[in-house]
Amino acid sequence: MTDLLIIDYGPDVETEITAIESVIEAQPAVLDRFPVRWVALELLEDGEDLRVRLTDLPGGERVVAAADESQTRLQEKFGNTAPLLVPNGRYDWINALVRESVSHATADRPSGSDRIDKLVTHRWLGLPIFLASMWVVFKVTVDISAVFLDWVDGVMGGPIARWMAALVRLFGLSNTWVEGLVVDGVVAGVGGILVFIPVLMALYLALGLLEDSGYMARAAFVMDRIMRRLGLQGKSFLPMLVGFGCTVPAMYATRTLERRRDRVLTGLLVPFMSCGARLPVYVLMAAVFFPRSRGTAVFAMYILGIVVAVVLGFVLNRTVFRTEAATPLLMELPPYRLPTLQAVWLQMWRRTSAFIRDAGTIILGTSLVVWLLMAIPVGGGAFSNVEVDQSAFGAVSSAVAPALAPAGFGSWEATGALITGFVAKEVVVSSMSQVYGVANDHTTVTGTTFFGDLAGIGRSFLEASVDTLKAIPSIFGIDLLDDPGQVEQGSLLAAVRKGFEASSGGHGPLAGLAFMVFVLLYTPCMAAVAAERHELGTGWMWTSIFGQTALAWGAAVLVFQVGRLIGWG
Amino acid sequence: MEAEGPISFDDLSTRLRIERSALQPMLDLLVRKGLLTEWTHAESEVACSSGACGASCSGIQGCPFVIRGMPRTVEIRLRGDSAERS
Repeated sequence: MTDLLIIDYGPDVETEITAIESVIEAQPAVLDRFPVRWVALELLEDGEDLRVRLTDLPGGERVVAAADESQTRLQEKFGNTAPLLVPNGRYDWINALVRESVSHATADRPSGSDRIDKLVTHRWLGLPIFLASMWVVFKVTVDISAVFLDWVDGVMGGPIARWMAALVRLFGLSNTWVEGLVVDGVVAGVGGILVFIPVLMALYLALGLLEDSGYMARAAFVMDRIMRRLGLQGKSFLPMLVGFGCTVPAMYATRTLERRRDRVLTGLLVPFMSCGARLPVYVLMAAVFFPRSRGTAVFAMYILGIVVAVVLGFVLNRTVFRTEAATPLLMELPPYRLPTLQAVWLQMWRRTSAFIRDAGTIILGTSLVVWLLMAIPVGGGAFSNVEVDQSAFGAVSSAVAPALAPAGFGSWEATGALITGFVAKEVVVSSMSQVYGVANDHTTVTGTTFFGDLAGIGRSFLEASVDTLKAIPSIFGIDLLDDPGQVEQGSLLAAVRKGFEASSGGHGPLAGLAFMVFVLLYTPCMAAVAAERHELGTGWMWTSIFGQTALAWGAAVLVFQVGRLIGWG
Repeated sequence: MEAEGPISFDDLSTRLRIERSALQPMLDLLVRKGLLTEWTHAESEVACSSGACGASCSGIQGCPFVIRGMPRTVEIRLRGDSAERS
């Protein structure tokens, strides 16, 4: 058989091909069956099929042995790149042929996507551009949706609470523990977290637009650079990214890393990526204490989490974990495209409906437990007829509260909310809604009817819609809204502000900021802790719990005390 | 590959002076031969189905952080590099 095409693979490979061919030519059974040069090349490329077939032929094993010896010699000379020699030679030939044969009518010009990527994935500009786009996302999410957040809060705490109280009265259960359970437990607890639906919808809409446009793939590209600087393997950025959604799957995603030290290091840093559950807490505190720059305040918390992870990773990588240099990554960046509004809208609804569904289970369950603890009297009073600070909840919270006094939020309300955050971080908000007891204030309003309430809801919805449109220019620093710092008396925001002002000796904003920092850094929820134990082991789980709590306490105290010293807040 | 950070397919094509259309099958071949490791982003999706906490996790179908348009990613770890699982 005559070879019609001979590719030159270079002197080293050609020498080995010749050596194998000489063995083949001495084996008639092989020679009659297959082209000589093809057998040599296929064996050098580890052709498993051919190896099996040759061993069935007389003399075939000698040919395979010769190929193994050739591979060994090439391995000794070229090391890890030896398996690439034959494919490289083939593709070099193909490329040379293409260059000779193909001419382009017009010179290759970079596409629109290429031009954008030159900037967006730039070695130095890529990260600032990514941070700026995330800032815009948070500004849009928090500042513009804030109007509807207030609307939902008003509806839940007003008409909804009144209707539930009326329903309870209908069954003759007024002034019983059932009314307390329904109004203070279910409405206050679940309602307290449902007010964040507008925020989450806005967030999912903004992220959906970025994802659909193809930008998020570039974000992954930029994040990888940061991971490498931390000494983390490139694959570590997948769990870190997932950590912005939820710490639990992020922890499980660490199992995709080959080395245990990479898994442990990544697992220790993942909790500092602000999970979605922390967002309602940030939004609430930002609304109370930083009404004119809510988006920036929330964005700052996310950045702080990343900075803490970077610093901690840097330190751990040079001390406890000495990881190897990260392997380079090759990423295919898809072309940019205009987002499809329908797809983005559908994703937004899917994500939001999942949130509403889960609020009806996890948050509801936790709210009922918190209500129960608030209803159990300690040292006097009757079940469901006791001041909250005299209840089981108040007793436990009050015992822990002094530890948080140096951070400015050493009140039993704030402490209790933080303790419930161990169940799920969103529960911090629903607990605050319950412990500040604002739902009760609205149930005693008289002179309203069901249809009057409905009309009021409709009217306020229209006003909120107009205000939302007015809020859009605030992205560019143009403020068209009435005083955004004005907080409605009797609302949760007012109650939280009052509580923090009292516990901090008049330094409410500083205490609020310290509280946000504490929520960012302290131990993750119990599901995440369970995932930590499963993936990292009990020892690292406890290290993470105590380490994070200590770090959170230290950082919160630092923020509050230093802030007071310099006369801020 | 001595890149200090990730490199895109287009960038690699330019640096090696290989047509993009020729580079793709080259990488496919090297991945098939086990010389390069391609990430399966399904791994993070499997992790997402392992559980979650709270109400803010919308599950794998809804999570905005498990990027559906995740770029195809190949790790340049040649056979013989210390990559055994520990």
